Amino acid sequence: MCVDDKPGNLAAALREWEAEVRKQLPQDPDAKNAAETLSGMPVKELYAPPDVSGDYAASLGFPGSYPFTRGIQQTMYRSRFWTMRQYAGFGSAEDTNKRFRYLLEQGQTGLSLAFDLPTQIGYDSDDPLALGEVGKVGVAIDSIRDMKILFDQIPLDQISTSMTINSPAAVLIAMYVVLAEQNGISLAKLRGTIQNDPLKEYIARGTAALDKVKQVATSEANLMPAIIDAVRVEATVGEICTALREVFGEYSGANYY
Amino acid sequence: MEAKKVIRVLLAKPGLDGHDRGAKVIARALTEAGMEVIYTGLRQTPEMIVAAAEQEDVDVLMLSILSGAHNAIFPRVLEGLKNKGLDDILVLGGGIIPEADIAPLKAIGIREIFGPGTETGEIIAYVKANLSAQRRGR
Repeated sequence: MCVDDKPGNLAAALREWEAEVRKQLPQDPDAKNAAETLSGMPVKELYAPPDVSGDYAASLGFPGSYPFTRGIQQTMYRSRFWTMRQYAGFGSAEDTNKRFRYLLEQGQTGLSLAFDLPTQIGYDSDDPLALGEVGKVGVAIDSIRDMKILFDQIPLDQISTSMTINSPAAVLIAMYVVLAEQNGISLAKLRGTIQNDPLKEYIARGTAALDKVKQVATSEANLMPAIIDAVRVEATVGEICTALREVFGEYSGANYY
Repeated sequence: MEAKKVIRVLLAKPGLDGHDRGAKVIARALTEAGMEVIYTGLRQTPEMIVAAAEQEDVDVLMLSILSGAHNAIFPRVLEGLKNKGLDDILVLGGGIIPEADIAPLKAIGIREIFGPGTETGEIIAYVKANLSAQRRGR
């Protein structure tokens, strides 16, 4: 058939085309409809201009502009591939560093850090609550020393790092910053992300640097400089988080079922 | 002879693992089956669990853990129960426990491990059938 593209004719032609095609497709009343999204929404055989309705600018727009339906960046994968980073972390900083370097050698383009539960919750490896948990679900990071081992031979100014860390996120960022400092790398070169989602996580909940952390925590001032100072003097994740717990308290979930 | 007493269960989350959905589903099922369930909430040390088991005078202790710390934590709990003369409590485990670890855990006194896919009815039946003689009689 030759398609006449005047709008009314195009719609009719499309319906005619659909009818013809559906006659040819296998008819099996018992078959689950394979033409469905994972959410069970049907997917037509063809989408053409008559299927587009509504305000293009409002509902679709262009890549890089609200509502971002057509992509979050203007250039998307034409300018840059997605970062490939495998969630990794186990046992010691040494073992995890080896894994990171292996993954980067294999062509991975960024890092994704998995921390153990004590680190995730803001306890040091020697805390009684850390019994059995150290290094199990990710790497144990207590102080800047562990961070240094973790990133040995990995150039902080050349890779981006995603850290799956929530309540202690400020402490881990401070460690990343201090590590860059120690390696003479400008903060402007650092790239990465933290999860930092207290809605999803329990809020976790310290010497002089720690007193400063507590002091600042009770005010409206930015906590980062105080946490960075504490990390510089090798205060641990547990110590800093304990200081924060003293000010903010610790969240206890609802125990109803 | 049918035991008329109410079975008391302590359901605990030892260690730092925060996954509690399974434990809460089981707590609900046991409650609906007529048992009295005390759920400890998260982040319990072995000492806290043993203390609670004693205070609450439970017949059954269920330990739920998914972080891999079971080999370090379970023995401490069993030891604590033994030291308090509470080793007639039926101790069960659940969560994510690798196949290879099950036999060694049973050898030290975890009577059964109920992993993913277990039906709640199975646990209820097991508890009723395996309460210690003392606890059954009460």
